[in-house]
Amino acid sequence: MPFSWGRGGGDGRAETARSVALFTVACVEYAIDAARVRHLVPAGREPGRSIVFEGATYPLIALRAVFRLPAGPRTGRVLLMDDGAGRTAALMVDGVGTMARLEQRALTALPPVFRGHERVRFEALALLEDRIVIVIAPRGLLADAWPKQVAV
Amino acid sequence: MTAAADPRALMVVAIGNRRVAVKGDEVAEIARIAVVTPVPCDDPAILGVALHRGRIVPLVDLRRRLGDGATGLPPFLCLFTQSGGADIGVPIDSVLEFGPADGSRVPEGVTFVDFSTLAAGDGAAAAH
Repeated sequence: MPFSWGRGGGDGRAETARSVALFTVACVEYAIDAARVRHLVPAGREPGRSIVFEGATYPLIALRAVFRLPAGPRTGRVLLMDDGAGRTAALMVDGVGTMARLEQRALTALPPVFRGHERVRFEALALLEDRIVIVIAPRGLLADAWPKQVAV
Repeated sequence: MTAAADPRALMVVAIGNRRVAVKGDEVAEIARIAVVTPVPCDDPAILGVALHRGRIVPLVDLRRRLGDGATGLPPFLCLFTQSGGADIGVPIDSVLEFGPADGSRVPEGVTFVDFSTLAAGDGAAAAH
């Protein structure tokens, strides 16, 4: 999915940075557009395969399972998100960090050696201070993971 | 260590028990990498990405790609290439030889790896 920065707040200028929420899965840091995050809840409180929040249903998606990683401790968080196109999900992650501003110049397109599902799930790689952060593609991730990982 | 840009040169490195030759002009640098950020992906031979001279560079486990087992955890020595605009890093054990190729032939018992093909993601076609 191509990386799109859109336009600024009505003044016609292209945006050069955007707010992201940071979270971790298996000690790797990920960023998701802050506009796509709806709510955070502690892990372990989810009653079943979905969470209902403010009238909307968020199917649970365990990112460790999607990324084929070993199961983690049940002490993480659940990040309620939408993909901006009508699909919602409750992402089970290990931890949620702070908000951050990602500058466009800090982004690197996914190198061509990555040729699998990762091209759909991730928008880019970013350098945040001296750390490498994987930028989630919300629409691609949910389109890819939602039907296989979720039964509602 | 920075390689001289001699288009005829071959660098021979040790990767496990295998001797691997690469084009000298594709070698950008040999450097020790201490931190690798795993990127969940379909190809198990991709170790992840590392920060090298301010750039995010994918690391490919050539040992695994060649069916010789798997590279251990960092830190490890890494050969970085710049070919076709796509940077790539490959963990190695040591540099064995670096000099002009004898008649452009790859020495006996040495596997030649085309890093431009490897960087483009076509790992199966990269080794001869």
